[in-house]
Amino acid sequence: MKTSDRLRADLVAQGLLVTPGFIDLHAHLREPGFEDSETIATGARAALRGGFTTICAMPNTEPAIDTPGLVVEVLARGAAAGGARVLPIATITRGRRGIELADLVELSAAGAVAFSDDGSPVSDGNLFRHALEYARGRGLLVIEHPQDVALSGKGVMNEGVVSATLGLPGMPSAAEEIGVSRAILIAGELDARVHRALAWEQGLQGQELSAAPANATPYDSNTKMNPPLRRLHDVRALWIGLADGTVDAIATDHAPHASVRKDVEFDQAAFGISGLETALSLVLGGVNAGWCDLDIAIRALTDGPARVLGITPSPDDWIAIDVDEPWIVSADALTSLGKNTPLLGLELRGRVVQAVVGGEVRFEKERRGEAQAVR
Amino acid sequence: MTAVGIEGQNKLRWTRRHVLELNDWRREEIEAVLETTAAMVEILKRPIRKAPPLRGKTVILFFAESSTRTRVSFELAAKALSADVTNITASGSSVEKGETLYDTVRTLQALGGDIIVMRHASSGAPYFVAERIDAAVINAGDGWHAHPTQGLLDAYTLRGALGDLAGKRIVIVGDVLHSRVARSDINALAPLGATITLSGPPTLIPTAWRRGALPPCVTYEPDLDRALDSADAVIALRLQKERQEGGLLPSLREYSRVWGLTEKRVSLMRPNAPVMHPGPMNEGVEIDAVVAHGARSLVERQVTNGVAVRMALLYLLTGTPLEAA
Repeated sequence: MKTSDRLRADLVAQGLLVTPGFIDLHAHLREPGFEDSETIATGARAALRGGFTTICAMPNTEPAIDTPGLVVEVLARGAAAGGARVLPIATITRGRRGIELADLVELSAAGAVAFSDDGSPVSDGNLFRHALEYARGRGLLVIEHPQDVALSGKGVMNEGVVSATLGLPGMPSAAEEIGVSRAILIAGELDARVHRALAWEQGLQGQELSAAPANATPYDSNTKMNPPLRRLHDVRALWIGLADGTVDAIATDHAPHASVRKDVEFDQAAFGISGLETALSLVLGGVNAGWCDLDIAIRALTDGPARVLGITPSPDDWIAIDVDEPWIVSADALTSLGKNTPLLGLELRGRVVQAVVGGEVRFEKERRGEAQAVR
Repeated sequence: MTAVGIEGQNKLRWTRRHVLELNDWRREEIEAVLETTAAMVEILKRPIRKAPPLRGKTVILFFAESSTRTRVSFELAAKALSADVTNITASGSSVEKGETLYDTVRTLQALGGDIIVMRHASSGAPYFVAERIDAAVINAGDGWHAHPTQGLLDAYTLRGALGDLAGKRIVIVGDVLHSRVARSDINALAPLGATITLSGPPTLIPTAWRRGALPPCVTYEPDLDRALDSADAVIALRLQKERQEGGLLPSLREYSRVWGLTEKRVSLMRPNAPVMHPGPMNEGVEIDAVVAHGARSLVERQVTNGVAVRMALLYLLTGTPLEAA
């Protein structure tokens, strides 16, 4: 029996849930360019605390990750961080400008696991089609940000009764639905692989938000994200889709922002919320509510994203979770530099106790029981 | 937190610290402001238009979006109550030099005014300030969201013209989507028993409202003639000329033909039903000059009442008893 196997058996015996490490298809690590919001190192460490042993880093940095040299640099910084494995995603188009294709094959050879102009769609339908055709020929994965930007316009939240009351410009759901439909139609025509960058976390967060205090300010910029939080029945639809297998992967869209970009007027605030460290608790919340079986939810955090990426996860990447441990979301409790979450102040359940990457224990939480035993 | 007794029938304990919007106001609170406004109107009729309740208090007018009328109205109101008044405007301050609202709030906090009257282009900005400052905040208009003093002065003016508003039907016509006045009018008039008919181009009505998810006591009638038929009053909203460029309107000419207040149209209302407008008016676009300056027009009375309503709010927020002052 390997040391690692003994350790696992020991943790299981303590009543902990031991599972393969989670894989996040969609995280913004902000480096290079926005290191006040997050760095590759802080993001990779935050990921471990959230149970993610592998995270895919979105390329909408400054500069955008559109050359092989930048891909190699992200890989190197990820490896040096000693946190979760960091897999770079490169841009679909040069500079994310949506005008000409980036060197997809060379980027892939340098280590890019997928391609995305995330933050904006490839609005030119013809260029998007070419990107899929070109990627398909080499078995590359394209992750699209599905949005009709003319329709979403200057919107800052879901268009509906709340936006009407608050006097904020809304984004109609048709903006996303058209973006998704376009991707499905073009991909279907080509039999290409495209992954809809669905705002999963957002749906989950929305569920929690419905339980948020009623006296909270109506203009909390920590609820601002793109695509926006939609209605409660959209959230339910996501859970139903997860339970019945329509949705095969859960991603966080971890979007940390420094306070200078969030502590401003709502319409001026940056889009996005910090999500790596809250996703597990939110998923467990849905499981506890009976919306989805635990094993299906865990698969959507492990096998599901691995299949999307076409990778075989290392059996030596695993985590141990105390599914009942309560914790209060606070700026101090988050390892990520991004403290921007609408869940601040809420009590959630479920914490990662141990995270192992490549057989090496990279995160170990001080535990209640042990602390008492020492005394 | 201030709390004072109000003269009059409604012995209400005033507990609001800020005036940010009217969405959550109860009828008794609106009544309290209207009663206090009546007392202020009396002060403004005196030969010397000055009373001492705010002596020693500082009112800071922070206007991050240009405005002359509302700013002057607040300034006159504060001075009539003997407050010290100072101005921070966008053009004369560091707002234009890239200072963030957060910085401005810290500065305002350090300056130590008692009441901040603020106007801002971003909906919700007064919440941002109120959460971070000790002073009372009065919203003098934020984005498309709210303009509570306009809502209250419109309620006061309408009540002066129509008496009890219970069962009265008020038409609001124009660019409701982008209008903080429309939102605050609805929130001030509905609790007083009025019903509101919105009219205007479908592109300028919030989508959810157009599809039927309207606030209580509010309906939408795109045909202005039908909306005006036997109505008790109409409020025309200002049309920003850039709406045409945004693809929301074919032309100003078509707008004025279909949704402009003409003499013929206003005669569809009940006899002598009044016409109001928050100003400044685009005469010939949303309202014809003969209507704007005709016998039904209450536009100037709105301006006069605006000073009294703002005095009432300044007074209520500082909590000084009127008689003891």
